[in-house]
Amino acid sequence: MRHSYLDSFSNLDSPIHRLEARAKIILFFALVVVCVTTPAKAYPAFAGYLLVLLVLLFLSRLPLKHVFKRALVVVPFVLMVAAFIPFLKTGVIGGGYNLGGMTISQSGLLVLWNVVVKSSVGVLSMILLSSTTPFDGLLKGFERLKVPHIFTTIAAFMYRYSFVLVDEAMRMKQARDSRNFKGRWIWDAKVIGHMIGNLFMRSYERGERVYLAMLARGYDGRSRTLEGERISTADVFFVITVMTLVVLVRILGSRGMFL
Amino acid sequence: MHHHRAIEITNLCYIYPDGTEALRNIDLSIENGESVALVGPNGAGKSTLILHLNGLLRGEGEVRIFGLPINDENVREIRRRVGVVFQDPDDQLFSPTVFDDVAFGPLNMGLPREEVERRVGKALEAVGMAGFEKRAAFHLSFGQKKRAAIATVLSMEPDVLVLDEPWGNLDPRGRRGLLNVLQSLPVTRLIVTHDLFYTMELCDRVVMMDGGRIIADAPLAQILADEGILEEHGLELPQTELKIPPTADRKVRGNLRPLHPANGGVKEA
Ligand SMILES: Nc1ncnc2c1ncn2[C@@H]1O[C@H](COP(=O)(O)OP(=O)(O)O)[C@@H](O)[C@H]1O
Ligand SMILES: [Mg+2]
Repeated sequence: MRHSYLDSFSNLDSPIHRLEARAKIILFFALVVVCVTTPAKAYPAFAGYLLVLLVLLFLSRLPLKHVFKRALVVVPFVLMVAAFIPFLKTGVIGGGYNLGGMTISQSGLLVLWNVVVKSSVGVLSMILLSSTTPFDGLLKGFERLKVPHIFTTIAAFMYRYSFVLVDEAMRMKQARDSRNFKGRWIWDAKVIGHMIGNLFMRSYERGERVYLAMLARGYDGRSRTLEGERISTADVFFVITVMTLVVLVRILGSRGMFL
Repeated sequence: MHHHRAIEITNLCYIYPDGTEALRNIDLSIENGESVALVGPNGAGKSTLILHLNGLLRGEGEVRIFGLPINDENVREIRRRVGVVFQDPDDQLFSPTVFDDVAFGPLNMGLPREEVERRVGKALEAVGMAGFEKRAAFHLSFGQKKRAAIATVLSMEPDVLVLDEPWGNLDPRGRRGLLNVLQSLPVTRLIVTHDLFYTMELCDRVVMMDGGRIIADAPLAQILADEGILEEHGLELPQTELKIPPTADRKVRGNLRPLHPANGGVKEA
């Protein structure tokens, strides 16, 4: 079966790919935080953030089609917000809806802009991060940034076994469909319920077997990892440069200095 | 230090919590350097027996590994000396990369970085997987997964290698590759299998289980020559007979070494 991997294109080579994982994690998370905390009316600042991201994207040599496809993930969310926000009462952000009059308020439009632009920057950052860093590198990066081990381990297992689970689900679906299953309402819900229960049991048993395999190799509840590569001065320099730029964009953009 | 057998099991019994009697009065000893096949139909108790060899299950009776009884004090040393490769490589390869998986055992042994790296390199080399360090397990073919799973155990430099159904699901080329890998390893081997064809090239002694008991323990040639016992316990004679030594007597059922004189050793049909 063909899976779509979270970290496809992470094995390319580019200046962004070569950055140390921790440096990239800090860079992109900081960028998102700065962006999210920028007031919605500071339009030039957002243009600045997007420009920085586009330059990084260009440097990373990722195929634009891939980035675009991944970015489509946000569209449903934005549409959901878009469907409601314009009906917000003037001056009451997150307040009551005015469904009768169908007035589109200005503050509603501002909220919509706010959501669209900030989610775009966030999604673009995360696509850049995950498409330029192999998944194990990301996990190790988070680990070395002192994210508790339990989280990185859970993420590692989830990522590792989601593929196995999807394969199992596909095989079950094929077995079901080859016996002429047609999804016709209520009585078929039972079949689907059985399938889910079956998948749950399989995962549970798998968990037990994996644990045995860990014990067999001397696991005692503590996890041990090798020291990773050091952050180089070049990495630090790059992160500091980009972040300085982003902070400048924010300060100047909020004051309307670009206009 | 005086002579110790690699594996020495005396009167081992195990009952699963649900009441299944999986092992009944198992006696088995394997010398250092031997290559033994453990065969028998599904549900015979082979996997259950394997889990006793490194203390993952503890039944009644005694299991000694190189003279060490299995207890909480020895269990770390025993898990290092007995490497168990489980049936499904997806259970054995649980880390983000092949390197992490192969390094898992050595890291748990508390080895320093250089030594861990040396052992990972050596283990992957031994199974013909050098260069796959950075790959994720789900990017590997099934045959590669099987070999990587063996490497995860080899990196602990075990003295005994135990494999549960190593040929399962592999295509002939994968089997041949795995066979070559196993033949090249200088360790004591216990191989659980249904497939006598590949066993012929690897093991000279066959232990047969059924219903939680050992029902035969004999040189391979004798077992192969006895079609009756193979059929009785749901095994097939390998398709080619070329490898059977011409000297093998076709009616040696009586020669099989009885293990439990009490129950007559080999059952008569
Ligand atoms: N976790 C378990 N709980 C209960 N019974 C089990 C469990 N695992 C195996 N059994 C039972 O123990 C017996 C021996 O199983 P197993 O050792 O897996 O046989 P084999 O590997 O030879 O196919 C079978 O009857 C099986 O159903
Ligand atoms: Mg089994």
